[in-house]
Amino acid sequence: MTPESAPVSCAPPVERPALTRAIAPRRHARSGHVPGEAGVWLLILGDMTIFGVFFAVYSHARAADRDLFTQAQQELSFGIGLINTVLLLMSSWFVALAVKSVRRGSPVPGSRYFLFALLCGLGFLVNKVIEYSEKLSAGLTPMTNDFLMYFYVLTGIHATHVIIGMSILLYLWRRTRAAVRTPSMPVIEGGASYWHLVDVLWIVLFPLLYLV
Amino acid sequence: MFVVLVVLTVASSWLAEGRLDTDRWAGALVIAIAAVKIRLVGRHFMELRDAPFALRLAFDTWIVAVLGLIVGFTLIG
Repeated sequence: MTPESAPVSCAPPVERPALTRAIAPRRHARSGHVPGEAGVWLLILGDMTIFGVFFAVYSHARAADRDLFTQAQQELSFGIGLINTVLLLMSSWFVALAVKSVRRGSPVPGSRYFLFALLCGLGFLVNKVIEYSEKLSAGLTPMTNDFLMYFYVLTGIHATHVIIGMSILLYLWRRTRAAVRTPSMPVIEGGASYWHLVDVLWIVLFPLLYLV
Repeated sequence: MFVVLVVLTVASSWLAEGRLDTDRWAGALVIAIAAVKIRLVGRHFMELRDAPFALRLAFDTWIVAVLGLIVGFTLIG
């Protein structure tokens, strides 16, 4: 048997340097990399499921009384809703940049992205306060009609998530700034994933309440 | 990616404007665009591209189920 006809042996996989292994997620076809920890994702998926039920209930209520809902919807400030959507999209982008920065081993420059995301969240909440006060002073309360009840409840619960998310971003910003005690990647990824959840929920809420 | 998401947002807002009570299919399309945005956020910002199959499946199933329900109610209402 000549050497050419002998079975080709595959070279063993190149061993990645320890630092690269530590900071970069490995791409396995089967196992994969969970951004954060499984527990955080149970929470996120659970939250998404609960909101999914809310969305379905709202959609059903709207289908049952389309005229009322369409008419009541006209009172909403489309501009504020749109600005809020762009703010949250931008904040998610900043958080993704922050995570990549920390993963590359640059937590301190990356920390400013957490700050930018935090400021976007603050802008969202300020808009929310303006929006609510405009409505309430015009006599549009959760008791006025079914649409407004859903509006206040859904956006209110979402705003609570925004506040929780901002606390997480504040923590991540402060800890990544002080490079000595940078949180572990699972903590950073988990916190980031929660913030993206807040964005995802609003991506549904904006068209659901303001557009369709 | 951020630019793509903003473009999709503006496009769906334009699509919906003035069509709130007249065109349910426009409403359904707006929700479908939202589904695309969520998938993009999931895969790129949330890094689900590299996640285990089960997690990606759960996330995609949520998108299809929830936004499918919303579209369904939008069309039959």
